[in-house]
Amino acid sequence: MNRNRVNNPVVLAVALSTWGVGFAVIEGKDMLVDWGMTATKGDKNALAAFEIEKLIAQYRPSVFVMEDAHAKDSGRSQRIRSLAKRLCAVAVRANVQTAIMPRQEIRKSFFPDGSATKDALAAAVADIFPEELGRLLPRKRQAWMNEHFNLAVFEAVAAALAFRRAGK
Amino acid sequence: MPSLQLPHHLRANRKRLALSQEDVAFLLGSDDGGQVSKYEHFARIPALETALAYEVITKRSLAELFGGMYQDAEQKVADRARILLERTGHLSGGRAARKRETLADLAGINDKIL
Repeated sequence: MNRNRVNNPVVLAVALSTWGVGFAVIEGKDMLVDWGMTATKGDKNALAAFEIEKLIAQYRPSVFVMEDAHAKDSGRSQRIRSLAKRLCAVAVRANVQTAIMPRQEIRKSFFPDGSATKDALAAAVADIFPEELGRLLPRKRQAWMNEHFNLAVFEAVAAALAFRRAGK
Repeated sequence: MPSLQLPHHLRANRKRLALSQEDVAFLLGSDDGGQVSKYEHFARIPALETALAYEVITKRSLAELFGGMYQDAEQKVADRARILLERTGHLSGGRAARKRETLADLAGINDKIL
């Protein structure tokens, strides 16, 4: 199949979480093509890198987008920081341009003041793709609840959309 | 319409409807979810009968489902229509005029300037 035309490039965005890696593939400005979570058991980093490699081979994205896990205020664990580096290396090896976006920039794309909880961001993304993501939207997290693993999917979609909206 | 890179959006539409690959295989009249996986990974192109069944299942037109392939076909037809239009330039008569109008439309050329 002819897949050489790239004037409407495909963006692969990921969001790293304790549970695994949420991913989203967007074609053009805002066409959601694929979304989901990578493996959540075993050697998470190795499995995630393998899954992302497969997604890159399948969709041949022009850009790989990820939130900055190394920012001073990111508060990410050593495992997540190491995974971020590993996934960037996977993208670079596949000749895919990488774009690391600050969390604030992603949030600002949806909320002008840039301050929003993950739940609010997920709800904003679900409003854009109600048919695709509406049923995945978790209940609002209470103080005693763990973060829902689906939130990483919404964060990945948010990162992809923010990248597109920034006109990059 | 901006041109699309991916040939189709079968996977997105299946997931939108919360169907598994096995569900779609069954609806397509097969018991092999692997075939659906091959379609979704761009390894195989569905036959026309299968594509039409996809249209029924997803309630999306073929042009929407197979957006990238549709645009490819559209571009190729336009290129060929331009060639055919040049070849029919010397013809005259009502039928030839109608034909040029059809070809100009396919080629995306304003017939008035012909």
